[in-house]
Amino acid sequence: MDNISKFTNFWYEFDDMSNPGFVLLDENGKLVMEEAKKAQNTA
Amino acid sequence: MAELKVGLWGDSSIDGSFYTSYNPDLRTLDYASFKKKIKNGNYKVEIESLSSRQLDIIHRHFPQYDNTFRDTFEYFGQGALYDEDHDYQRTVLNRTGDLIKYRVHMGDGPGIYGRWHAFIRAAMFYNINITEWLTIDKALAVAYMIHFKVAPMQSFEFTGRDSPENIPDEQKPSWRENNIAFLQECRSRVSNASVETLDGILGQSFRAASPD
Repeated sequence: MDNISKFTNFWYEFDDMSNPGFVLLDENGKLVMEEAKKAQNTA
Repeated sequence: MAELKVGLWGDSSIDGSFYTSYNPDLRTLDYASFKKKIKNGNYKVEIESLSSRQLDIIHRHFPQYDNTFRDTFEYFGQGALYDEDHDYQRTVLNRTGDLIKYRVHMGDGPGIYGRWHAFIRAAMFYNINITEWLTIDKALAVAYMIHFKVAPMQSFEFTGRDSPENIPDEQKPSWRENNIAFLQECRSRVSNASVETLDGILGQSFRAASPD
């Protein structure tokens, strides 16, 4: 079995650049509020 | 593709230009029509910029287009890449206000593969790194063939709860060992494929249709 972390790291970086649908969470797993507003505005 | 005009709402986007020039029955792209729409859209600067950023990431992770590069696309197609380390940037706020984690790196929703292919087609139209993008497009086509066969689930869809032990068998790395013949068949199919053949495979993704 391959070590898949090298693959997940690649896709994480790639998706981070190209996926507009994700929002940002803080260190407690709560939504960062500016992101929530942005998401609401584009919904 | 965050910085490009995407969306299937007519001609005013790159993927829309592809989608409205693609014949799903014949599985062919009317290239003259696509070319015209891309030209009219003036996407060259955007495409050059995104191409350079995407290739930069690819080169940093994969110095060569070898089996490791091939495998990363195959695992992506299979939905085998469960990632618990980046929840803070891989979460979606849904319409009811719930936060949904997307822990599996995979093509979510129909059209993802076709959208990327449309971008690649447009890059090729502008003569941007044609050889490299063709190599990437072939890997993408294999990923879509695997995606269609496996029909991977996103982590919030797992039976039970979102947890690595609940990954469906088809999405486990071991699935590859039991499906070597299928994987070889997919690889052979694209090894000498023209970009027109890739149109007929990846164009199917817009309707979540069979690439076979």
